[in-house]
Amino acid sequence: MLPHEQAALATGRRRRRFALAAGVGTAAAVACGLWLVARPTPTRLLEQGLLAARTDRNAAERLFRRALADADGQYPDAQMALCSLLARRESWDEALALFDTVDQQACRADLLLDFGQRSYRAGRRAPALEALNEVRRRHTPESVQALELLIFDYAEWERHQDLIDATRELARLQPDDPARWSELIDLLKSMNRNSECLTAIQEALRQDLPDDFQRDLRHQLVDRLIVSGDVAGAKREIAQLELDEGDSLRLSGDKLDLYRLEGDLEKALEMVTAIFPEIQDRPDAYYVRGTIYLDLGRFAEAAGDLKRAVTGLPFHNEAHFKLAQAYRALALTKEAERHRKLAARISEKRKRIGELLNQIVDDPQNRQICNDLAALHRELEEFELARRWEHRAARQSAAAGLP
Amino acid sequence: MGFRRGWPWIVLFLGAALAGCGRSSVKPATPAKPVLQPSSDATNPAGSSSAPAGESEATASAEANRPDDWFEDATLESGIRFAYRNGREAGRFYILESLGGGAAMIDYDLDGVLDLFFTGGGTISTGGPVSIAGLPSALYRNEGQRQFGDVTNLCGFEAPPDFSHGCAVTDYDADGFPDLFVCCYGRSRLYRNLGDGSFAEAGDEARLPALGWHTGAAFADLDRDGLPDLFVSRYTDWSPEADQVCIDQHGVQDVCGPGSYPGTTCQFFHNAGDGAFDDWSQRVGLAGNIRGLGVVAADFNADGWVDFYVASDESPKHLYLGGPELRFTEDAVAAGVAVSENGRAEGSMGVDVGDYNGDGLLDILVTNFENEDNALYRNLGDGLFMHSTIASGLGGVSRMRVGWGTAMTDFDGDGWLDLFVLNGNPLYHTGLSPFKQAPQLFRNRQGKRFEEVSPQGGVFFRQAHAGRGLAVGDLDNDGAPDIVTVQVNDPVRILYNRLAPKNFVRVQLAARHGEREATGARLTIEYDRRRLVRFVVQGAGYLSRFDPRLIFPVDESASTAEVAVDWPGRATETFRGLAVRQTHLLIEGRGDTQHVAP
Repeated sequence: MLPHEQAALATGRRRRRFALAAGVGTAAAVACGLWLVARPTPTRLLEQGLLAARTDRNAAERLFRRALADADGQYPDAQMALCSLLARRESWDEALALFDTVDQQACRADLLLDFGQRSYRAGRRAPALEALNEVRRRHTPESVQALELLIFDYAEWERHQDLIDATRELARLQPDDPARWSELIDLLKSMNRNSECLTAIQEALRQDLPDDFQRDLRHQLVDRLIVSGDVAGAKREIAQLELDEGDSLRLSGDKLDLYRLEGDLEKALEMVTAIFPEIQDRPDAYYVRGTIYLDLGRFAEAAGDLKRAVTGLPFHNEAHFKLAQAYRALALTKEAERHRKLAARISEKRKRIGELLNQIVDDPQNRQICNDLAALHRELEEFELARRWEHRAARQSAAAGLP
Repeated sequence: MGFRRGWPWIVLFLGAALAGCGRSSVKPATPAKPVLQPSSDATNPAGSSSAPAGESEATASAEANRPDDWFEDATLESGIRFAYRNGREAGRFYILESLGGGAAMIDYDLDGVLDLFFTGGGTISTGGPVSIAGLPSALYRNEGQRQFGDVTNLCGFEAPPDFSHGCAVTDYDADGFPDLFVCCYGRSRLYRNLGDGSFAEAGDEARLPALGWHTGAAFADLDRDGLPDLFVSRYTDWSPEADQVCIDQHGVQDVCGPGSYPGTTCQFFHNAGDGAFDDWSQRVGLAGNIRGLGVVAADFNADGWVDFYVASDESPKHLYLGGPELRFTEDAVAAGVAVSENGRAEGSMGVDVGDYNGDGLLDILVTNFENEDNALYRNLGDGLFMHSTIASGLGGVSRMRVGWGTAMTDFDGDGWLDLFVLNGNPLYHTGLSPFKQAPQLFRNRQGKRFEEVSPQGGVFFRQAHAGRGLAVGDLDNDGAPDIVTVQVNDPVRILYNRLAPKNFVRVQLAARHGEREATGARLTIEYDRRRLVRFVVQGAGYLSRFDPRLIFPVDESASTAEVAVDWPGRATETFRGLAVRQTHLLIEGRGDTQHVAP
């Protein structure tokens, strides 16, 4: 081959190589550009990871880690998602270490909630409460679930003030839900927080709640006003209720309570006599009428009614006590002493329950207290409460690895 | 009560005229005495303000008396400048701060008008090791015209006792002059009236080892030897070393309730007659656990033997029945005066007794803590009582208050016993009801029910107070019982009753065959076609001593009256021709009267 031919050939090769290289380079650049344009963002990686987590935890973990890496390690949502994934794998050390680094305030509520729920179920109470309380502060729909779990926990751990605060918060978060207000009102009533209970009822009455519930609340308001000794307030409410619902059995009950509080015992007796046919199948009806007879000094009639009351309500210490008072006035000393002792014994059990409930606040994992509470409730034939405490004792036994 | 809907859920799970003391010799109090402090309230601890004493009084009289007020607040004009101090300024929240002090109406100079004695309370050190010190008591001599002179130092009370609460009066040495007993945290003190217008502390010769936390006391003759014995109620077994810290759910510290400390037993001291007392606590069978406050000595079961009824805080009240065997029988439960209408122990403070319903039997009124009604126990006879708060119209009316000093007294002169209750919360910040509360006045409607008339009570009733001790008696001898109240860290108040009866007779007993005051005696007079019965009792109200004289209304047209006296455990004697609007000393066995001034 001639030298000029060889040179031309070389030139051609160089051109082809260059063209090839240029093509490859261009293709690579285009590919790179396309990849850069189409590459999943950390957000997308997180979403992909959350989807994948349902079926392929390994893929999900890769995606979460990629998302985190792509965000230079500063992606709270990805961290939280990863926490939950690690929790599902029961890799708790790693999950909790990571959770400690998460900026919770910057984290999605649903991810925090999920981690909180998983942690709680796994008995990791501290991080669970931390996450749940963060969700609670958001006042988002997730806050409802967080509060529900927190309420369960506070009840379980006898954290009474926390329980009240959370229940009140939940009611305010769902102001149109009657059940939420009922829970709060009943809780406050059971804890003898009468003034707070009154406030809660009044707050509930300002909400847009169903008419039936509103009316029930107004009866409860009357009840609480009577318990507070607020005759004027109770009278006002009763008058208003009378306008709205006429003569109902419940309103008659309210009036009866008011008449007795005022010391207008004749009217109270008149009222209970009028409604007695409707309530005579209830032992508490006899307690109510017996109490009025006792107030009136009609001891024989009081004894008769109160005897029927204790037959139907054998663990009603107040009924036993009043029956003892009636018998005492009738000079039936032996019977009086018997019922006084019965009343004292029941009161003693209730007092003991109160003491144990106070103790369990300080020692919530104490199985013995749970068992003692269960036993006391069983003795008082409060079987549902007994079962609850037995169940709690069993759970604590299981948690402690005991048979 | 009532027919309520049942609710399940979480609820289920939580379930109180002598040379040395002449009018011209009245001197001001020494600086060591408790001084008037500005009004304090729940958010302004006593002592934290530097406002002068007069400010508090100005506040007290800021509102004018109204023409139809039952009582006229005459504190400013009275010359009495005194306030019980409880040591709150130390900020230690000791339960010791809760109880307050008492007052005694005592005619110490036998001039025929009631003088006033007040316990001083004490101080608690602020920092470093705890130091609890008493403040001096105070004695004010009634100079007439509603004026009182401070004779504290002249009469020998300049030295403070231990931290003091209640007081009691009797003539323990039978020298004819009334003596004083002051209940203290530490060692209680007995002061002998020397008859020259001064008192001297009965020291070791009295053999009175009254130690512990004494609150109230009453003198009465248990063994019928003619000498008054001493019953002392004790509160709890608290000490600074055993103090608990109580913080509420909002992190606010306050005084702990009595339930935080173990109860204790009362004490009984027999008057040996040689000026000394012997501790008979065990001998008379005082046992059991009690957090004793107000105590009344009377004949509760009408058997002629003196009994003692003790209000107890957060535990059942006790009724110690006396008898010939000189051993108490604690009978409160069987008598029906131990607990509430529902059988629950209450936070009981003050107590007074009297026949409120005109059946001639002695009934009992006990003041209680918030969320509890005050308890009125109607006497059914035969030593049985029935809780009658609801039946008497007192249900709910005091539920949101904490009652202390109380009096069952005929304030309006109609022959029916009315009620007065002094209120105030021992908790500074954390109670359901405020630290300072308005007192209450209830008019007795023909023995059937009580009606609250507090708004017509007067200026004092329209204000809130940290009320505690209370004494009732006729300070100006007009026939109408007046009121002296003791507040915590605020000036004592003198309330003159404006509803003087149109006609009356005032009597005081002088027994010759038993204790001179005749505790347990029952007096009867006919008035308005009915029989009024009054009883001679000791220690009523709250940590205080009332006027020992009894006032009966008399029909307007009558110029004389007739009083029948059932001497305790002895005969009934009738005293006739008692001139109206006079005070008569009814001396046992004479069937006659001895006229005394005025």
